[in-house]
Amino acid sequence: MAGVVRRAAAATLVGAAALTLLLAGCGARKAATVAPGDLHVIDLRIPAPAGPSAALYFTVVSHAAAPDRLEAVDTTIAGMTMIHRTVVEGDRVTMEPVKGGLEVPAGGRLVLEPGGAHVMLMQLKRKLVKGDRVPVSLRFQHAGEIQAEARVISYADLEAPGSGGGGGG
Amino acid sequence: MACLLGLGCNRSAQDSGAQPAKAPTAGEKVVQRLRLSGVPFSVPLPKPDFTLTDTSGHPFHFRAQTQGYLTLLYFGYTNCPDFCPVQMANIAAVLKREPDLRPQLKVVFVGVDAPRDTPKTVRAFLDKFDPSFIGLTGTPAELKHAELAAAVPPAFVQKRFKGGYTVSHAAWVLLYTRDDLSHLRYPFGIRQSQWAHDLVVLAKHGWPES
Repeated sequence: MAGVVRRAAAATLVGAAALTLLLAGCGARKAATVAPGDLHVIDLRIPAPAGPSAALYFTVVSHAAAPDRLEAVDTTIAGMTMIHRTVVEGDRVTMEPVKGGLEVPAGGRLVLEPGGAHVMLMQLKRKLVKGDRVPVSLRFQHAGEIQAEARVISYADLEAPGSGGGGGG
Repeated sequence: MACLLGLGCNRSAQDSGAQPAKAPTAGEKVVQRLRLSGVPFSVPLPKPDFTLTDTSGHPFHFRAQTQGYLTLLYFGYTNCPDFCPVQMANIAAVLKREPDLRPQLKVVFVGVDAPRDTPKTVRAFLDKFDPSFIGLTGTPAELKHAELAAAVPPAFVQKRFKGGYTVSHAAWVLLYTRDDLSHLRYPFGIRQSQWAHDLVVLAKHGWPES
């Protein structure tokens, strides 16, 4: 009898240990994910375009313990969007499509700004005028979809601190 | 990267202090004295002699028609949503703030994307910033000639993707003083206050003999 009890107790212990491991595993996995509330998208600005395409700039602030990745950005006002990076090499400047998205560092910031990365908005569906508000949808690998709103400003106002009203970076 | 670490920064500062200081060039001396933000050429560049087409369809002889003016020359393209419009907007903002510059300054934008930068497109692009900006267009061969004459790298189509392409082009704005030489060029990131300072000083004094 005593043996059976002991064996049952041992089984329980093993079960508990397994459960603990499982929980620990879950905990670890949970810490490694990013919830939508962990990311804040601020300072969304679109300079009123002078040509056929426009640029969207913003900052993603992460409060997560794990990195995430901005995969795509969409807006109803553009027929096509692409994440681009401006690269200066020697005396040349080039815009390059960013493959595989942009990393949002854990607890850090991803900044899209003039001369760096931007979302290129093409096939614009309407005229954008300073003061307009434009809904933007951002897709992250872990945090999923986040909705935000961009302000249309002028190119000359881009260099003003906090031009997006979010405090700048 | 070393500058991200405090130690790295200090060490490199000490190192550079320990090396024998290179004598500054004439251009560097002027830049220091006048506290300019432009980057000096070791040897100034002559104003290039090229002819392109302006936005009303007339030939524009760059050297002759900007002679004696403080002149900014930029090679960009109108489908560019980042670099080019930011540069144009910052210069335009300075002209609004410093209207006395207007009679002394010519701003010339060359649209290097021949298929898309038509006179009409370039005019519409520049009018968003300042209707006084001069817009030039040309055939690919004429554009290449102008770029080589101005000693900037010729533009080319960099990346094609569904729905468009990007263009690799010269990154700097060239500034010619009224001696018709370019002593300075300006990288991206020059702020409006820096443009204002440099343009006002150089419009007033020209390029000083150092």
